Amino acid sequence: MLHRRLTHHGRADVLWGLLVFVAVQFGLAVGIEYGLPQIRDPFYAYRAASLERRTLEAPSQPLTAVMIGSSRVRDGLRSSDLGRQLEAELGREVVLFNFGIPQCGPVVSLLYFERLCAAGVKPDLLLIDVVPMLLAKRSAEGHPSAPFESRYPQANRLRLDELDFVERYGFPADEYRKVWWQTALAPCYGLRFEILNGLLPQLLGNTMRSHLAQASSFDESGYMPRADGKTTLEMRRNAVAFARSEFGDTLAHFELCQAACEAQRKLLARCREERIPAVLVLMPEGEEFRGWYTPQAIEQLDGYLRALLREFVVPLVDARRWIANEDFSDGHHMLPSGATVFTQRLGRELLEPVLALDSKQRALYLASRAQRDFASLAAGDMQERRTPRQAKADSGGLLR
Amino acid sequence: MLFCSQLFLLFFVAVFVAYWAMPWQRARVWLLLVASFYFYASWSQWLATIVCVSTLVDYLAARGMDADLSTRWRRVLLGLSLAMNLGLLVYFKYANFFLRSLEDALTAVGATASLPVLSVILPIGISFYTFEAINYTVDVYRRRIPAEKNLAHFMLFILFFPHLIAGPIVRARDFLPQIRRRKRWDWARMNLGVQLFLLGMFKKLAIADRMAQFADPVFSAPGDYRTAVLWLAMLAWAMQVYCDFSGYSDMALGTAHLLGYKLAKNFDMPYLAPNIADFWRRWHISLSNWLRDYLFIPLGGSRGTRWQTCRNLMITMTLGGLWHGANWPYVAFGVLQGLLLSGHRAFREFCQRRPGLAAVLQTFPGTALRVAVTFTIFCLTLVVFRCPSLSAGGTMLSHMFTRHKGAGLPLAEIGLWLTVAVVAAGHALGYRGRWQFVMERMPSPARGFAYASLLSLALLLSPDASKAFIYFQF
Repeated sequence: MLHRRLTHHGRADVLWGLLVFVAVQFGLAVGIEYGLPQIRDPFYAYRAASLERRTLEAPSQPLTAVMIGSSRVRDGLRSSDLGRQLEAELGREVVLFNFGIPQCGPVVSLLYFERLCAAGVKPDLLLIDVVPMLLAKRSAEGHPSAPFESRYPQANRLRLDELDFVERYGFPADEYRKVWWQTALAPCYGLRFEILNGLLPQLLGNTMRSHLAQASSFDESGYMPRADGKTTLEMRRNAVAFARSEFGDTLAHFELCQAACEAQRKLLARCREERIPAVLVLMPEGEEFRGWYTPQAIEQLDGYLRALLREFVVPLVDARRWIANEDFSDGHHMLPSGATVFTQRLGRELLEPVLALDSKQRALYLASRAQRDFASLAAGDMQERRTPRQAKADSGGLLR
Repeated sequence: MLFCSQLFLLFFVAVFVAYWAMPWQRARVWLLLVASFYFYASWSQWLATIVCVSTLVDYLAARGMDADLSTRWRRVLLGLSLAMNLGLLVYFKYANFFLRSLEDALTAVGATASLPVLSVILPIGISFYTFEAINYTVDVYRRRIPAEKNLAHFMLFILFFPHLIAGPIVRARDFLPQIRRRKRWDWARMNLGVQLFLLGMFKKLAIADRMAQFADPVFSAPGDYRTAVLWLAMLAWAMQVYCDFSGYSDMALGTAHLLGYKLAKNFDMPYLAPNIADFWRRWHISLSNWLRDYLFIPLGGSRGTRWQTCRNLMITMTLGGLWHGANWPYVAFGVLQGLLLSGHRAFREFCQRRPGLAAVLQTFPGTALRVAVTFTIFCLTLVVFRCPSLSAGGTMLSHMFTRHKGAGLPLAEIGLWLTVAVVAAGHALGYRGRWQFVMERMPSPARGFAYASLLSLALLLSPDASKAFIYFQF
């Protein structure tokens, strides 16, 4: 009698346990997919929500410029300062939004652009970060046709339908699907850090905590102010060495990845379809970092950019030499001092003249500027020969 | 192949399904044997072969001892088996330690010596299966159990994968009869197996690995941290080592139950022990019992004078410390445990002569005080156990008892206190079977919810990369 009761209980307990576990995971998966996007992709979701709040939910339609790209953009564009300055100068509401997200290359930028379009966000100007190493192949890791950005663990940021999307651009299908299904079938394991970050971030390890904190730590314009003046020479040297270990080999054996280039082309094509004026920006790099490019790499990049400019007639801002070495934390991520210089010059040379025009004149201005940039690139004098120090001195001190 | 890894789960599900799908007992034994060999060979095929060969020699020696041989020949066979088992253990685990210690000693007396260093890989779990083999041959020699005739059964006793790497140290007289018994699917047993496995997984992933994030950085550079942090790191380490090892043991018991086998309980809430003798009856029970039966009692146990008993305790616990590894801190840990046990015996005799004091100590506050003192003292000896050298242990202990400035905890303190609260709540629930009492009265859906919550929390709280079980190295 007792044994029969225990047997009955045992079966019921195990089956109920299994059922509840499956139900909890399913509930979590559905909740995350449809109601809590900040769990699946906190980096995108928080920024997108902030941008939507400032544009779609604003009482009057502001003039909107968005810069989409990698952590270089995140650290480099002081969007709130420049936005305020532009507002004062143009006499109307301006939203300049920093949509820089770590590890975001051409494929993920395209993906995010599509998400923003689907949400109804349509900026008056889109600045697109061109990161040379994210246009390279991931050859060193045995994925010769995959873009470099596919090396970053981004599968958990995607939605199911987006797996096909990134696979079209050469992301390793098996690797990504395996991780994605893990996050979907057992979200309490696959997305545990994101869930904990939402519930009780104190339980996360330091590295993961500071990484995920970046997802929501930004001002209303998407800029994440960093503490300045704490970078010692040794810290910078170590950071540059780390950057070299991450990108040096790829730049030394640079090979353009067709899939990554195709994604960037597609982004420009989509901008044209949506009638969103676009500008390409080559973000600043330190002298040592620029030294890691071989002449063949520069040749490939110039050729690619020329073709892009010819095809889409978009301007290219080549800011690679705008910033002095000491204004980088690791040779390509700007410190706040560098960000000030970059932002100010970008505002003066591009955003002020462009945003001051109405949409028709803006299109004409950008087309003429694109032709000028193409001619400069073709003539090989795109790279300004001024030293970074001169550039810094030229930029004045409007922004603090 | 860690118990809480995806690889092990896949392996176990495959074994579990195949095992219960087979109707023949003999085939099941062979399946478990092959699976166990594969499990060990996933670390090293070469070492798995060595374990098999030594098991074969033990089998033959025991068969010889069981035959009608003279006492002298039986002694020779026992000696052969012990020499092989202890020889392998000493060679793989202690040879370099003894050579290094000899070299240091020679250098200390002024001689210049450069002894060779052997390039050997320590077979994981060697201390566990060596002790199992010894208890079998000694029991056969003492004619307490008959020698196992079936080689496959004997090999499964040694190689059975749930206990192969880190115990519990099983006794032949408990395990061999289970192999012979025909197994029937039993939901009550499956339920128990699932309960134990989930509990172990929670202890390992949600507590031990989490506590390691507090303890590891501090123990690697104790001089860099302030006094309060050293105490907190000691607490974190105490939680880590307990939940790591008892978590492994629970998972081992759980997987064994799921295959129809019962292994000996290895932990019984040791941090609630009111004295150190009771502590060792609750902590790593299978090793404590082994040391008692095959070392302490043969040495004379507590039958002699007070000093003889103390000597036996010191020898037993020192060798018990050395069992953990070839390192002076382990030896010191063993010596400290011997001293504590001897001190406890003396205190007990002191209290026996003072019934008033004994009565006060038996009250609830008195017991709480004894538990707290025992826990604190054991934690302090754990500091010696954990530090890479005696001097590092000394430094940490000295900084703990003097005001020392330095860095704060490597992680947010709330994580530590929450985990301590969970462990305390677990002990409160488990005390005197309260947990079983509550569980038995809950409806099945509520129990199922508890299982699902335990698993979900274990997965949710698991850190980035799971660490290997601490006792694998022993």
